[in-house]
Amino acid sequence: MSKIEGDEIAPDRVLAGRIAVLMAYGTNLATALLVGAVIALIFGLGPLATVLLTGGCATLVLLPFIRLLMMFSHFRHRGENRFLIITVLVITMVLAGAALGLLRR
Amino acid sequence: MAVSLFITLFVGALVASALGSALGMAGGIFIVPLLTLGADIPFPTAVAVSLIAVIASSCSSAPRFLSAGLTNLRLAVVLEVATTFGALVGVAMVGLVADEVLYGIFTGVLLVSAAQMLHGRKPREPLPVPAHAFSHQLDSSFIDLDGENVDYQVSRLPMGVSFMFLAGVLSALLGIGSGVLKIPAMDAAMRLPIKASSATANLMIGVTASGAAAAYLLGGNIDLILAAPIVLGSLSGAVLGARILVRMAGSGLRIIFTVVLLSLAVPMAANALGLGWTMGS
Repeated sequence: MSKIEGDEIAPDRVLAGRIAVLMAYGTNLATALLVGAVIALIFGLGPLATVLLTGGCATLVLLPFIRLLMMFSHFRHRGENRFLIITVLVITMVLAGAALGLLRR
Repeated sequence: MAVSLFITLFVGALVASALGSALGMAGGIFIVPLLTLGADIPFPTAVAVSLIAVIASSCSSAPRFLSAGLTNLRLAVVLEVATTFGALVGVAMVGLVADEVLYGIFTGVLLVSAAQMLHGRKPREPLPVPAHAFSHQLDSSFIDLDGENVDYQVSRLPMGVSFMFLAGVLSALLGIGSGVLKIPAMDAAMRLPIKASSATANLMIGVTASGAAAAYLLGGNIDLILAAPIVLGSLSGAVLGARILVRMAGSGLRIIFTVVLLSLAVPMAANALGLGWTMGS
């Protein structure tokens, strides 16, 4: 195993574990919100259903973004500037996509 | 929404996601035809809902790959520069490309996916990488099922990045995870082990689709009522596919998958030619 691998894989595994927890809890939360929305629809609670549906979909859209923020924090903490810049670039492009949607509203 | 339509969409998304999950795909390639052909939903609406479903499927499958140490986080973020830039270009193109053209591109994706499915994925020999190349910082390893440590390196990174840009454009325009480009990019171009390739591609799907999905969500272009059965079906299907269908993911499932892909290509091609084919027509 090369020096880079030996130095970097172990902390990356810790990060991977944290991201796994985020994804598991996040999808459970989104599922709960969406199931709640369906129940609200059944009982004719339209406004509540819309709020829950928006919350469920927004949770799913935010999960990958939060993962990027966790990676940003990881690389910053480790002083890995090259990967920090790469992560910032990705975050910027995701935000640009969202901004494009707002502009078209 | 009628109860029968809700149940149809839920079951359809569940099957699509379960099949996709068992074969390392996000299922968007089935969800868009399900909505456009099965429920007569306009193509842009179907794309927006499918993107949320694709993210759901990716997030739902990610924990098991991450916990197994199969996902290469550094490679994922490097390739995401290309996929998110591609998705941004794709979002900018929304509304500029005629639906017939999008149906035509989708048909091409279905046919190429069917060919890839028949051909199968085979491990490739790694290529030599210059000693001081940046891609060495992406080298990684994982423990295989037999307990053996598998070290691997990333070959031909620029070629992989080019494929990923196109994958991002397709993802935003068609509402799919773009496995059709990611699989050859990671298996054939970058010569990654199949398990690392599948796990890393799965994680990347979420970020790639999130920019485009956020654009649709913030632009008020997502039909939330339609999203409920599709996303819930996708979440359930991803779990089902991972737990049950993956045991059956041999040649039999690949043949079924190929037949379904080819069957969907016919009406999608008809729509590309302006024939207006839906299940009710």
